[in-house]
Amino acid sequence: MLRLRNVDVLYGKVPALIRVSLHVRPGEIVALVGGNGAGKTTTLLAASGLVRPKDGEITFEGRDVSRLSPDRIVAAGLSHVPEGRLVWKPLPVEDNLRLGAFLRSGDAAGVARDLDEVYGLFPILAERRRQPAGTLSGGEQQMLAIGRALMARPRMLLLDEPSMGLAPAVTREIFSLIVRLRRERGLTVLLVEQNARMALRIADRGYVLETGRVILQGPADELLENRDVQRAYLGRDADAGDSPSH
Amino acid sequence: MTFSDYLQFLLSGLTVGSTYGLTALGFTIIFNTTGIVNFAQGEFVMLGGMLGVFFLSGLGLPLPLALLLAVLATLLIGALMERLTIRPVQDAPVINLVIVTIGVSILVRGIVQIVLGKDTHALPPFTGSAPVSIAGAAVQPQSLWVLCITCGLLLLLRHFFSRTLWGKAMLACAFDRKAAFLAGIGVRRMVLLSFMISAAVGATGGVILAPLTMTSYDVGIMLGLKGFAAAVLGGLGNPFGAALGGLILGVLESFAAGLLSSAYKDAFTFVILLLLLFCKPSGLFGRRGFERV
Ligand SMILES: Nc1ncnc2c1ncn2[C@@H]1O[C@H](COP(=O)(O)OP(=O)(O)OP(=O)(O)O)[C@@H](O)[C@H]1O
Ligand SMILES: [Mg+2]
Repeated sequence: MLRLRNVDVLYGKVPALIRVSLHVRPGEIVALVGGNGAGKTTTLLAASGLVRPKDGEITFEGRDVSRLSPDRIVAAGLSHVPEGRLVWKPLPVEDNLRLGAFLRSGDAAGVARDLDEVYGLFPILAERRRQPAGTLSGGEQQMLAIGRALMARPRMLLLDEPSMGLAPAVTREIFSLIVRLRRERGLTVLLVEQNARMALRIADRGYVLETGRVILQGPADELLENRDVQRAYLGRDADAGDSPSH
Repeated sequence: MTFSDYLQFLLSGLTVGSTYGLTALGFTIIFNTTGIVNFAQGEFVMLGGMLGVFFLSGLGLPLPLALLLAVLATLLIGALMERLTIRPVQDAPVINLVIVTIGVSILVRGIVQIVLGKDTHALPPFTGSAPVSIAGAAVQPQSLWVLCITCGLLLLLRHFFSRTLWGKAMLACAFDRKAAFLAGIGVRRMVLLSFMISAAVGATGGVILAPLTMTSYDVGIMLGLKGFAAAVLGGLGNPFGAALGGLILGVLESFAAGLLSSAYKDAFTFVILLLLLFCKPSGLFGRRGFERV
């Protein structure tokens, strides 16, 4: 569904991605893990058109998106929930959600239906619909960011560190939602996480990124068993607790 | 000094302050969507007045049509400015873009000077010039036009930014540009729109004030500076604070001119601006912790 082939990205003269290749098949949850500054966020930004690859190929559903503007990529069905949530803090929750459907402003009935659906997924957002988004807790802001992305009716979601700064219980809630979205809507997910254990537990496959290169890839359970992965990425979050299974 | 003298100062201050306010509003609309302080904003005001004169006397069009065309033409010029000078270098640091706007303002002033001349012009008042008496103060009917049109425009923009999806999308670009891109909002189009709205708002200010204060190719400099002062006074980034800042500035100026001496009128503005920058850099109505991207 999404495929990167030999993608190079530079920030100025500094390479951030070096010949990165990865693919996500329809209906899959794929985890992209790696340490600080490995290039995970850059990979997602390249897919959604916010940074341009210097070289390589990015296709979504067979179509070259590497020259498409970010709003065309959203319109094509690929939505990105950014690192740090980036909700529009002064705007009310409901405006944040409605703006997620900016490209569908002709379809008022559909937007209203999806708004109800997002409120169904996240009842807490319905309660707080008139509050400025900045007043929400971290977990609620993450739900809002996901809800905003869903309002564009994507077929695939790019999720950048949804667990960042959240308590384990809230993280579990978010992760089980991801699993549920895949099960109920067939949503395809590329999930970036520092919390590698939890990400690999809900994922079908995974990629490990290190200093801009893919150094390992494979089925998620094999990566979880992999000695190198365990040593480098799973050591310190062994107490992350039970995660939802698929 | 009597009550009616004070009322007189107040009303003439509000009238001039309306133009400062509309100029300031133009500053904030562009600043909000782009982070750019557009130093060509004063030229939009000048273009409104000068093009109005041109369409009226040069082409002999009826007044309402001439004024409408002047505003629309300035709106197009704002769009051209964005397309030709901002978009090609949009990824440059903001400070470079600010310098580009200074270049544009010099260019626009030069072209108007060559094409329309250096003379000072006045537009006729919209509905006669016999002063109306309000509680002993003599008021030009044009002042009432200025106040009403300014209020109307403020209400319209308020509705746009707080009730319409496009208005909210423009705000979203200001609050978090990256999130706006990722939500599928055409940020480039919003930037273009912000230049068009700012140009039209500025030109409207120019058109309604020209019957009272005369206009010429170089009025944009001072109006731009006053508008900028008003925008800073109101807290750059807050459109309605900016408009209010303009009104306050106009009234203060009018009282300073009336009670002290009109020679200090302009200096007065900048003393206020400096004091404010020292004491409360976020402006009178600036939101604390307002994040810029
Ligand atoms: N805008 C930028 N300009 C210059 N360098 C950048 C920029 N953004 C990221 N980098 C650099 O590119 C490399 C990859 O960054 P990236 O944000 O993709 O990593 P990451 O895997 O998402 O890290 P983290 O886990 O901290 O979010 C890092 O070395 C980072 O310092
Ligand atoms: Mg990152």
